[in-house]
Amino acid sequence: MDERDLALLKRGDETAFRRFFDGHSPRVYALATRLTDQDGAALEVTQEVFVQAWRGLPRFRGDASLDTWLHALTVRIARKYWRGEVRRRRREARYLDERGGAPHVASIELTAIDLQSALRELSPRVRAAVVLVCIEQRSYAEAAQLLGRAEGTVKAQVHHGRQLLRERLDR
Amino acid sequence: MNDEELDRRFRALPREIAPPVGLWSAVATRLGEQEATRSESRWRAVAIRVAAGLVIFLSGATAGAWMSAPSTEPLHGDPPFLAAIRVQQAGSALVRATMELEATAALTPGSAATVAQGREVVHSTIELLSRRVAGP
Repeated sequence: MDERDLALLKRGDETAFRRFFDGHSPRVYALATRLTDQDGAALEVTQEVFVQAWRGLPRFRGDASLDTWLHALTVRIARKYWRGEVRRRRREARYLDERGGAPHVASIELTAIDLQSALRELSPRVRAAVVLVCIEQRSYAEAAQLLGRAEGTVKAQVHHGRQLLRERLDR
Repeated sequence: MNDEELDRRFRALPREIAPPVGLWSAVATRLGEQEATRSESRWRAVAIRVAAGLVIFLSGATAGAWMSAPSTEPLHGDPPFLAAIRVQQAGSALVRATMELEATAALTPGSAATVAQGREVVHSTIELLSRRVAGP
């Protein structure tokens, strides 16, 4: 993206924003798909990223690249989504408990499982660390900054996540 | 599975995934809604400030009882600041009611008569409020 495009974006030019969306949405959607564990959630997160980007672009100072800024925004919105999702699932579990427990769900034996599905089985925190370091190729320091965690914590989460993924993929 | 094999699988994942075709429309709709809400908020803020200023101007005295006064009596006598807050709250409630009404009209085909009745109620309430502010 050149200076002229960036200036147009910061002024709120709709055509420039449409080009920006077309150019960046596949990366954002891929990241959102990996950070969340449901297809619908990835869409919601991607939509929210671009709505907030539209609002935030006039204040974009260019300290980091636009790509990094957009990635940070995606991670922040995905984290907000997990927190809401965790609360929702807890509420539902409580509701079911109060009414005599959750209905029995037959366990599913997965005979063939791909990496994307295995990723979705990780906890949101571990998954985010693995996605940023192993797929997005961010350094531990960058991932730690994006996730708001200590670098050591991210290293431990990546190690743990990789171990779980190997086990799942070996099944 | 060893580390190299896992890394190979990571690298094989696509860095980009084309989002569904309708995503841009959804984003554009949200942006349009936001702009509408923002301009509406600006309008509302101005309207409420004007109403509050009017009350401060009209009600000079400090004694009085808004709560106990019958609805047909003016607001004269309420402490100006208190009266201003009450009119702000009433104004906000009316604007919210109007917005809900318009939203209902947009979502419910064939609801024109009901919506017109609703508008009447909102307008008569505004008139009543104006009478209370202005006095006889």
